[in-house]
Amino acid sequence: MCRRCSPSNLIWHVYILAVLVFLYAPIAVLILFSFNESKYMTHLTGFTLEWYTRLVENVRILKALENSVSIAIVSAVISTLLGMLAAYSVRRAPYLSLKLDTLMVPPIVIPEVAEAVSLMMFFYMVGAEYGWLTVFIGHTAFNISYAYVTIKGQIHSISPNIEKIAQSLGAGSFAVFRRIVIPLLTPALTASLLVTFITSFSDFVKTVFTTGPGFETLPLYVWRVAVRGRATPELNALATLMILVSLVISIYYTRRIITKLGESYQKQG
Amino acid sequence: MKRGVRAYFVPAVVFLAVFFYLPFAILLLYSITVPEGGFTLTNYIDIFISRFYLQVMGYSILIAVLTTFFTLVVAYPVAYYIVFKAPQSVKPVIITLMIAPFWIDFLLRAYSIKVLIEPLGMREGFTTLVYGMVYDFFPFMLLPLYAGMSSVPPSLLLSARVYGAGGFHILTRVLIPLTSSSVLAGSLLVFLMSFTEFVIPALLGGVEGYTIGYAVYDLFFKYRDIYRGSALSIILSLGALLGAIMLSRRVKIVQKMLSE
Amino acid sequence: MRGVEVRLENISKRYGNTVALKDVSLNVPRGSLFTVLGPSGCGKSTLLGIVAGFIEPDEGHVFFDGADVTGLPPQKRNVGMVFQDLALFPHMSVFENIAFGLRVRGEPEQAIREKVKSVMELVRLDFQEYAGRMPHQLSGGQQQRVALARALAIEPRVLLLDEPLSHVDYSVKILLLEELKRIQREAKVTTLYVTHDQSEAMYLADYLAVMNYGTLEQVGRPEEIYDSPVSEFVARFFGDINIFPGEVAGLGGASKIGVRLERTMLSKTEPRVGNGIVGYMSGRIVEKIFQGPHVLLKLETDYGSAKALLPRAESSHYNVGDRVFILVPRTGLIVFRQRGSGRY
Repeated sequence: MCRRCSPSNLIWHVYILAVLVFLYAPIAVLILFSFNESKYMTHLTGFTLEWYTRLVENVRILKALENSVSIAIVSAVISTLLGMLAAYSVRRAPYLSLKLDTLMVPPIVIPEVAEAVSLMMFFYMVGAEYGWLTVFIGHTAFNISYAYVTIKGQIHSISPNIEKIAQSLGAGSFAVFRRIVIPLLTPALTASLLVTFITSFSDFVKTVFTTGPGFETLPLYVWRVAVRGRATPELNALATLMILVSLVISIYYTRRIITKLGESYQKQG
Repeated sequence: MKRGVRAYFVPAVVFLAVFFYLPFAILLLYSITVPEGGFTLTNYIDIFISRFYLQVMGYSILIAVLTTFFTLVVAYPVAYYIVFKAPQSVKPVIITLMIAPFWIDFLLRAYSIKVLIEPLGMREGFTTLVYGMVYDFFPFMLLPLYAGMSSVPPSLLLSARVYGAGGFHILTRVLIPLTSSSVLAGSLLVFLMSFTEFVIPALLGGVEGYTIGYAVYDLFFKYRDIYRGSALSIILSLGALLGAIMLSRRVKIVQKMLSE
Repeated sequence: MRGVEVRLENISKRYGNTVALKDVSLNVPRGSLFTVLGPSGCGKSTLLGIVAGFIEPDEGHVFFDGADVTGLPPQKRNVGMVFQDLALFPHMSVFENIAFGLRVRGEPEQAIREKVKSVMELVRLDFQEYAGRMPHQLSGGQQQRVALARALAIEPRVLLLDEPLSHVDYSVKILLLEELKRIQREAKVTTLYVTHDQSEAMYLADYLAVMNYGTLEQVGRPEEIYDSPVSEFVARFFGDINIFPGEVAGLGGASKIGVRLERTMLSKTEPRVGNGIVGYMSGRIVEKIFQGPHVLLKLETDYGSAKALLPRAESSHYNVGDRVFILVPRTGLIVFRQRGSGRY
């Protein structure tokens, strides 16, 4: 009956609790102070929503948010599309697949600083105007690799016979792609969209090297405010909102993984 | 089966060729050029004989080693708990909570540490910096460990126990060898990322936050020395590539050993 | 449903340096159940792929009812297929799986429903109960039926089955073989069934082709091939056989003779040649294996090992260790020459 309260299990539960405190204490404190009246983060003085209303009125933040979201969405969609096509095209060609891997993996492995400076110099040489487009290209250059790696794992789990059967039943290659491949890849495509979106949305290093004067994303704003000065309640309010969005995405993503695992257990049982 | 291979990979490859490989070639070119024109290796030699850069590099390696060590020590039991110990009812919740920080903006998490230390009366510096790094990189260690641990059949641990192996033996003889490739993958991932990281050190390290990533940033933006900046970038990239190649070899060897 | 006559003419296919098919010609009569039997790697799956249109032959032509379909892509050939792994669409219900081929043809909803219903009836899957289920909610046997129904729904000109039963338990296999035979008869569809399992082939086939190293060793009705195999390979692969070195008067040159196990006779006393017996040799019983109605005896002789399959009652006279004479009867004697063979 009381297997769960043996001493060794008690130690386990304390440990897990401690890790959760380690992970969430900073976030909790940050959220707490975003509702704190005082401008200084040493004492709690009272509850207020003032920092949130200020946030909404802050044109600079809103503009940064718009830039971040638009770049992240477009980059996620395009890199997922290109990554999917690339992974799909080599699914039956092991040799070509290996060659493509060696081309696609370095953007993930190489330090982002090096990638970022090289792209900055490239844009300088071709005389590009630094801004939305350059930042977008910078993000997409590594997102394609993330998308490719994410989707490729899943493509190999589709039996080649499934596509053959669909073809024999009268489906042309486009119909096979639309009715069979895309639906079967939905979990991988969702994962890829989420990963590439969040990677772009959070990116700082690539952005700071490829942005131009006057063009700001949220991480750049956070950096400029937090590093030059100190933590501010307004920034706390912004951070709170962004953390909430991330948590929702996380729960959604994890659910998908959990349900998939659950199904595969059922199949085995 | 020519019918199965189509040139759908071309757009992705072209994109990377133009916006990743070409820029890298330019970087490489600059790293072996002098401002007056002509090719040279002095940019590299300058870095390798400079006490300053060697010290910064050593310091960055120290930070990366500490970060890797602590994330591994904290995350390994967590992965074990999730896979083998957690009651089925709370398992999804625990996984969600442990993985959630992965999705929260990197910079924001570092920033939240900055907020936390003020009421705690802590100051920016080496300790805070390492704490922030461990905090930020924890999910990158946990995910590969979790994946690797999930593929260990529970029956194997059970049979080890049946044959009389104690807890310590199961850990060192069964579990650690079986998860060694994911431990390596997680460690290398965290090491490489934390080695060149400069946002967290800058945010939390105060005067002790000068790392090799920051040195690259400074070479380009403060000193406007793109030649040495390029050389340093190339050195870091080659190091990372080498590490990744070594890892993929090791992982393959381990997988082969397991399958036999 | 309309089955067609399938004709292959001089089909060859190589992959690099390995020859998958070498000058294969074959005629599959309309509405028949034709089995291709061979060990793995003999080229039988390549043959099926060429009929389906997934693989282009290097040489030769494929005809459906006399029309050349060699250059036609699979989606235009109207062939039904079932693979070993079944390859049901995991994201679609049973209904949608079966309806797939009709949907891509743009058939009206009502017609699709009617058709799915009638095919499910044909394969004996209850529409009410199973149409809405997902593939992973079905048993192995039910999944087989869905895969077959999906292939039949498009009223294929040819039905191609690539080892569909090799992952199935023995008891289920027997049942499904019976079902398959019934369904094939009812649907009257020309069927090409590829397998490495001689018992499946024996059970099903109207016609049989035994394949080895990319060539057809022998084509014919199962009884013909069993009684008059053209080569040692065919004799061993389709049924079991004793093969002894021997010379047959009037044929000349070295040859071998074969006797099917059930025709191999034993005697405790030295027999006389003649009177239906063409020869004998002595041997010793080394093993006795109970097989239900029959008992298999394994023997050692001066000419190598041999086997005999005796009715149970008769087998009680023989025990392990006994010295016996092995008789070669005139009826059922098979003679193998350098090339070709014949019944003596």
